[in-house]
Amino acid sequence: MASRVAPYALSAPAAAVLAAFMAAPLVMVLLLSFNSFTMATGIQPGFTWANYVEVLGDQYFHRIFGRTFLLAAVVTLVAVLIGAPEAYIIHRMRPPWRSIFLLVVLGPLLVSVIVRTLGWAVLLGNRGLVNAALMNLGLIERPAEFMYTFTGMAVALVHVLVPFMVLSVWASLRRLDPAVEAAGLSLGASQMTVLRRIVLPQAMPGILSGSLIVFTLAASAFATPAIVGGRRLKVAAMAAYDEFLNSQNWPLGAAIVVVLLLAMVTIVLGYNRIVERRFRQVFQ
Amino acid sequence: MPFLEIQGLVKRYGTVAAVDGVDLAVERGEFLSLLGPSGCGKSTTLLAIAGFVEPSAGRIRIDGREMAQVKPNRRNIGIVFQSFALFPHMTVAENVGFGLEMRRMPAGERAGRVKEALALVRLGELADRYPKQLSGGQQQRVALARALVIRPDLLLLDEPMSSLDAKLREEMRVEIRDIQRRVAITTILVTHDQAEALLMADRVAVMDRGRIARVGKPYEVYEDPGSAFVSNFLGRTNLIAATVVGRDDGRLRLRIGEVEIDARGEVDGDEVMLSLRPERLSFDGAGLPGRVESCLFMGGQWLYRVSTAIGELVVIRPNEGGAHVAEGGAVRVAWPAEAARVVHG
Repeated sequence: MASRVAPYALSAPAAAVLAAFMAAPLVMVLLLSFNSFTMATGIQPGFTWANYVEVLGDQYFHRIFGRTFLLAAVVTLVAVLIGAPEAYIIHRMRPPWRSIFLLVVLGPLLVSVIVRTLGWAVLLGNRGLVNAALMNLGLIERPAEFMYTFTGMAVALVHVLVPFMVLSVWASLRRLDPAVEAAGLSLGASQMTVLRRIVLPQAMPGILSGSLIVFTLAASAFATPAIVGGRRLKVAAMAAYDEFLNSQNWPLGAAIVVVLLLAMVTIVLGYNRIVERRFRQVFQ
Repeated sequence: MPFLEIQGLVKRYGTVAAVDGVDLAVERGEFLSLLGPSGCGKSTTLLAIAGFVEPSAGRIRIDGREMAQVKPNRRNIGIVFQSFALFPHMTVAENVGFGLEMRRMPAGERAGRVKEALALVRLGELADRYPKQLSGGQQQRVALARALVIRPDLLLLDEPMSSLDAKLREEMRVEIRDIQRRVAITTILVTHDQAEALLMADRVAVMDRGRIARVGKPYEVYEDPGSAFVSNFLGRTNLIAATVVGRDDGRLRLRIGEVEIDARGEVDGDEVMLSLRPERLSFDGAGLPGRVESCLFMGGQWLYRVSTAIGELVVIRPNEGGAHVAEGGAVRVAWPAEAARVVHG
């Protein structure tokens, strides 16, 4: 009898924490998004689709959501292109170097997001170190734009999120039988062919899960886009923040959050399905 | 000229020599087994032949061609790995066809060759399965088919049986040997299992600490091991330290304690080891007096430990259904003259 109750009892604390601090606020946000708001009356209880009509119908929000998902997609793509080879190189390293470089890769995660992002600003601002050096050397006449640009946001986010990709791909490479590469070579494949035909397909589960982590974190990122992108290049998380704290329009902010969440869940599930079907054998 | 020729092969890792001067010649179509305990350098030798390990010194020639500058993917060698190393994301047919694809063989011709190879290993009906859906023995057959389908100059088997269970291992030994004879491919088997090496190979090369200790036909090496290491590694034996007191044209007179014994063999020096195979010892006739200390039943055989004037001897007698000697029984241990072999210490 005890053995059947035990699992539930053991997971009860975690379930309670999730219910209190995750499920309940989400439900409240969902309910809030159906309330109405005017500057004169404030938040009015009731049920209206008006906030969703505004979020889904307004060009202004279209641009924000478009930018958010484009940013997340670019960041994910770049993270795959950088992170997957990096993971493979670390995988091939000998023991002492492997742990050292793994630590180097994890470095960005050990620094607070604000400190790290302000670091980028110091380094790459119009009067930052890089621009100053390039101008003093006479290589460029005007500072290269980095702060308050889409590229700047993407670069800063890739820097933060690449470790998730590296760890995820590295974990799946660790399950790779080292002899399969030798087998490929002995059958006449070149090193490049072995990577493309044998290693890459087996690294796909790691690339997929890494992409999901990077994509969701990039799409919901707040601090980095806020500091590097500024007010001019709003993303969805910033738009919600502004509705909540600047305009005091909580229902509209809640609607933005719900739309962001639903869009992300849809994209993630769809992506998951496609890749799992494509690489069915590797996942088994 | 031998088909595969290895001369003075050395591989050092730092100051440690994993392979320390190996010379080996293998004829076309021959099945040679490299046998030795782990760390004896047999796998490193195999990897050097395959091109995955760059020798520190020495040369490897296949069919008269120097291999030093030839990369692994240009050597045309088929390898069956210990873990089989099948590609998990490809079907059996895709796995087997991979090497042909790399050789840019047209798809139609390739399919025919894959079918042929799968028929050879009796796996024709499993072509569309994935490796994970196969049993260990089936995976091994796929690995063998994948290595053979490219019609390699040389087939290398790296401990291919060690991940199979005992029963399957025995079946696969015979099957692989039969397939090897049928396709008549020059083959090198690396193993630490002496039964496997003796059963499968035309010749056995026993390795010890980076060198080849003894090479020859299985029966010859077993009967005339040359050193204590080889006689102990190939099967089991009673090894007894002895002093040579007389020599006469291949016959030696040995003294062990108070006892003098005749033995055969060529060994330098007077401090030698006497090797007596347990299955050559018997209790019939007049021999060395002894007392049975323990008696173990092994199904087909009885295993006795007998204490004698020259030390404790292990004696193995076939179980012929009759009575066996009980513990504490007095016996006389005898052996045919040629069974007493002198080996290096």
